[in-house]
Amino acid sequence: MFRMTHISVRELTRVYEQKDRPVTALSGIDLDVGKGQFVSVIGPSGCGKTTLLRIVAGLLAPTQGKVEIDDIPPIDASRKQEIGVVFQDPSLLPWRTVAGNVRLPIELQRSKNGCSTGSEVEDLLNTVGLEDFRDAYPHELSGGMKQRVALARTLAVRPKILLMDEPFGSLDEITRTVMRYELLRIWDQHPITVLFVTHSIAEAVMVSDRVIVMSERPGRVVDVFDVDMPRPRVPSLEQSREFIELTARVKAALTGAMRGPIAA
Amino acid sequence: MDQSLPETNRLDTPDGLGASEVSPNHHLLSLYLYSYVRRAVLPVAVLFALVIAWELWVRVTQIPEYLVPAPSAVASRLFSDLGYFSFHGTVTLIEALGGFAIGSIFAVTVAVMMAHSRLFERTLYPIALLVKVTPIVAVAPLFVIWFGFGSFPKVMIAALITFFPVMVNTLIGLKSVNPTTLDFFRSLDASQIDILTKLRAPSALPYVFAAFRISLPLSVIGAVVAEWFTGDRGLGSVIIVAHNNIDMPTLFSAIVVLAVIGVTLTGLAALLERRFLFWHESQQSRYVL
Repeated sequence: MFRMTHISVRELTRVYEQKDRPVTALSGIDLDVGKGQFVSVIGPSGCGKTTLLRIVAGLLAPTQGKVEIDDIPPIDASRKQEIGVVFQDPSLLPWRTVAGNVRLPIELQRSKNGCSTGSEVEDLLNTVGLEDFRDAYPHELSGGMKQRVALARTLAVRPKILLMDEPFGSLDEITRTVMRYELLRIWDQHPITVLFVTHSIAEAVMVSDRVIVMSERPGRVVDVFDVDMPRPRVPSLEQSREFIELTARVKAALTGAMRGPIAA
Repeated sequence: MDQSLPETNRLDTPDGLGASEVSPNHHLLSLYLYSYVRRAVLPVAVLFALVIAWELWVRVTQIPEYLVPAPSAVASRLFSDLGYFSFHGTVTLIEALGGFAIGSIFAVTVAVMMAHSRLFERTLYPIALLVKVTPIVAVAPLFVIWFGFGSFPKVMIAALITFFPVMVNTLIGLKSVNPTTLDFFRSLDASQIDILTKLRAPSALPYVFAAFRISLPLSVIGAVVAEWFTGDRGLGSVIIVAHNNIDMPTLFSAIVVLAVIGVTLTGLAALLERRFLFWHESQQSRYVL
């Protein structure tokens, strides 16, 4: 199926200047994400996944190469508030209630072009299932609930692209699985473009249309897998042959990309 | 001792949310007052015992009043002339609070400017440090010569002594923002004003309150020291006059009033901290350090 390219990454290289020597975090990354596509990036720790995401978010400049979002640089897309980011750290404002946190991005909009109604915040809270906790403070919430608030907050400005940096990385396994299907349910309602960074193979395969496997530093794309499982993705698919086979193939690619004893 | 503070606003209590819907902070405040009183019982009892021991010691040894007055003599001096002490106490308190307010406003302004400009920080920080390390006792007579005998030099000294702790803490606080939260603000292209008012300023509040706890009593010290050099009003001048007359009951009465002012101000600062920092980790610990 043909899709318009939404995120385009060409020959992307990022070098960090360390004290003694430069460290190459990303080397020659090429990547395309179509409109409305759900793409995961998976790789060993320190492979530059987060760096890649930060560059696409416009938080970091590339050393070489080019990133474009709908043919404009990420920094301009972020000015138009087209990009929403969810981090591993929910990074909520502890002095604001749940509703206050969700309202924050609307308050930050420079061009106050309406739409900052209370009902919108209520809708978002309903979407993530936190309508009963609108007046609670972050310190009263569990880790999974905090991450739901972070997701609702990011969706508040109706971004066209959702960037997620290991959003469920600090959650326990059970909560993590619940959140995976919650995310899928929300995404089925708002099918926007998603770039999803994760450590978990099962998570990557279950949520994505495409899985990109990266190598250890310097980060390169070593393999790309298309996931053709039907949507909506339901937990029973975890027992399907397709899922098990694909998971094994991603794992093999990931292991091949690693050096050291695990690779042997 | 802190376990006396029951869990409020917590979702795992049966009516946690119901209570917070009514008025969470009022609820929390009265509970805090209750635990505050409970925690005060033991130290007050010890203090009371010490005062009794002191009274007995003075009576048994017949030590002359110009060396150590009996607590009863101090109390009778204090309560027989309550108007006198409350007048001078109020003068000192107003000077201290005025200086505290001026010093804090100035300190916060400078800290905000320093947080936004490295050049500003590198230029002003050493000067502020220089002012801080100069003993206030050395500057006080100078201020009296420059600013006259009214309240102004006392307010200025109190402001000066307040300035540094508030400035340093506010600066650290403004810089101590969660880097991920800052990234989130930046990913939405938030303006510098929004980053300051919606992120940096609230993040700095715990640090600012910690500074207030230090500089509120300091401002009283500043006012008293400044009053030593001009002999008309305030507890500092009361102390100097009583000292010259070897009038120990008056001297001790002034000290007692100063101690009461200090305790009240510190308590007030702690109460405000509870009110405004209910969300901060420091207010949620139920364990004794």
